[in-house]
Amino acid sequence: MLIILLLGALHPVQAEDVLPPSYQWGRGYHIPAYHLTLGGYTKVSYSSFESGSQQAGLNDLSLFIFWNPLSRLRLFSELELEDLFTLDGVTSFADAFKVERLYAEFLINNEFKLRVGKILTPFSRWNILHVAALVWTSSRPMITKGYVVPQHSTGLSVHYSSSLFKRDFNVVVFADDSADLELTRDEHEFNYAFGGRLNYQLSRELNIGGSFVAAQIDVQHGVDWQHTLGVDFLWQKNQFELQLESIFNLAPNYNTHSKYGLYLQGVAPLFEHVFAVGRYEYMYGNKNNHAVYERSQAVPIHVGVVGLTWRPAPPLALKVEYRFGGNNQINAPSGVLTSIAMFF
Amino acid sequence: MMLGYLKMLLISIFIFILVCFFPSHAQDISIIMSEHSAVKQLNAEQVKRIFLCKDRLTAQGERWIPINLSAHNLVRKSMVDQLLQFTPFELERYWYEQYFNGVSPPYVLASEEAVLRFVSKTPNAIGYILSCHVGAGVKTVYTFNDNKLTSKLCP
Repeated sequence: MLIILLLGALHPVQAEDVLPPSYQWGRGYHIPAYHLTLGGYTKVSYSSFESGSQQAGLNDLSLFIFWNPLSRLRLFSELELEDLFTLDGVTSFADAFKVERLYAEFLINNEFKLRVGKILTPFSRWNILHVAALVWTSSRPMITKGYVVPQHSTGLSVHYSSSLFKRDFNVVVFADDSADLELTRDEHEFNYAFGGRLNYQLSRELNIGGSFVAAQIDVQHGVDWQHTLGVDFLWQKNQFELQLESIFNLAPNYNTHSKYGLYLQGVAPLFEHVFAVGRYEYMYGNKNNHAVYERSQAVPIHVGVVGLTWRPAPPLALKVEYRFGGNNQINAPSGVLTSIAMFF
Repeated sequence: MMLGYLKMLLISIFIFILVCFFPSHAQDISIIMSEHSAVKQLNAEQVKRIFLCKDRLTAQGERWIPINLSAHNLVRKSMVDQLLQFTPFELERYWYEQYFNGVSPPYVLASEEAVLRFVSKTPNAIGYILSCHVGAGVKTVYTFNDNKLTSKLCP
């Protein structure tokens, strides 16, 4: 309603009136006169695990609205219905509805921008580009699932983006106050946090990154301040891809254990639009529940994923994968996972 | 044996003469803005950042309006290959990543004539056309060359 009122109040830029609204599959509906875009993505999946259980449903139905009412101001929202339909039935709208992202962005200049609101935590590479239509597997690597570093952050962030030796150089620092500002509570989230991320394009093919976060998080018997460090790289050439992320989460006290882990994922084009994907994951954590940090329960968890991704059209991805491992029954159970994901 | 070397030498000389006297008709591509724009010149890196929507503000703090040609246009292919230095696959992925982060790619116009007309009338609009098609109402702020484009595209 507010958007409609503001649209009515703002007269469109005259010269841009000649650019008509347009829809492009995978890029949304764009109205140039108002600098407004509506779009989103969806994901449906079916999984059959070796334990005998099955999962299927409409996992994600996300709507993007982004609007640049002024040259220095951009408003962005991603509203999501999560697991609206599953094998167990229809989830109520209230339970399925999530505010994935909601922020206002102020461009200070071309290098610096300020974001206020809810963003994807700028920690590691997967989390900030986790959208199902872009990633290569139906499953998320264990270390990115938010048990160690929550996926969302609500507060203030400063983004620096420029060129260094003609290569992209990006820095983000953020301060989180989810305890007071969060709109919809997630399963794992910060109470308070601060941190940052740096990414540098070392060559045309290779990006390297590092992330840090210090956070107060709810644990079994109270709250803990946790410190987590992440290092990652992404190498891409001729549609081949190699990506690594590793994290180290320092134990907050003697009774708890440090958590650390990594994944290494490779992608290779097989024939037109079909890619082979392989991933190895390791995590030293709790095999029954990652949110529990008791030292006595820590075990090494190994997971392997092999699969195929077919991208018949750029906005569409069909994936099938087989996952296996050791001590992985709860966090990443063995079985076959399939999904179809699409930007619209 | 000797005859073979001599034959190779003669072929090499012939090719050298061909290259010297019949140079390939490399085409210049102009990055254009309205003739009323305060921008005098841009460098390759600036043009690249504007067309990738990494730089969104002009020096005056107004928004850039980059304009693309359609995906199959040869001049656009040249722009992507020579100036942006992306393969089509990489560029597709780049724009989907940007879309996920709330950034739309440049608007697409169907022809160089349409780009010329739009850019000449729109402050801060920036487009690209073959240099031989640059006309009244616009000025060139950067030029690059693509020797893969043939002279048939120009009158």
